[in-house]
Amino acid sequence: MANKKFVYFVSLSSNVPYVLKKALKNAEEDNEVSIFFDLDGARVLDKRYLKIMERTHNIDLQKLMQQALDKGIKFFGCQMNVLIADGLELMDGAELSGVATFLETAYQADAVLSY
Amino acid sequence: MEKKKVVVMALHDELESAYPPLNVAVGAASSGADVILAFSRRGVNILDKRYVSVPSEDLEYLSNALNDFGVSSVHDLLGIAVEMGAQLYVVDLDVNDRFDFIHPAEQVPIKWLLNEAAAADLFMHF
Repeated sequence: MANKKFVYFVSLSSNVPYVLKKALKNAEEDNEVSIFFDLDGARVLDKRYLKIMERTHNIDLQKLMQQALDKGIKFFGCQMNVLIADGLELMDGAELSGVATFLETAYQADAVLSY
Repeated sequence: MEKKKVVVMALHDELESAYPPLNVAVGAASSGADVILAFSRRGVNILDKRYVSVPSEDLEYLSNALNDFGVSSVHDLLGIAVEMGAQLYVVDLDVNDRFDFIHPAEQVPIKWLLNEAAAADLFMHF
């Protein structure tokens, strides 16, 4: 059974590696973790971006994101995200959601952290 | 169902920092929650009539992308939040600050806001 529920809200892609590391640590301690990606943060959910940003700060972002998904961390991309207009190629395992889903998840969380 | 209470604080005024608190405020208010939307000394620029949303360096693409996607402007979104019942507050203003608020906002001490946040179902700052 999960100990605690964590929700991360990330709107800057440059913060994603940090958030993923924190999220993985929480998930490894049997906590339930969801990450909501918005605005620039949602870029990482696009397969094309992941190809370009294969390595950032010595971190293989694609690998880190797969590790997070394998660990049961849920990825949500803002359904109103601007990238959809540019033909978002959503990565496998991630889903689009609106603010209602975010609020529903956030209300039940023990901690909601924004980056 | 018990009415939710949501406290959202805008700490910054860059475009990418202005949208999330407003989106959360609008979403929460439209679902019936009591929403306190607060602005810090920097975030309060969003409330000024002269405010223009400018993204941070390297995120310039967001302006065009938001425009192409037909997203409401920051001030339009703020107006929707107010229409939905969100209450506006500013904290830590300096007596010498001169603002021309687009919507009335009450000035409160940060301690008041933190007490409200402690009693809220959801507190977020961006």
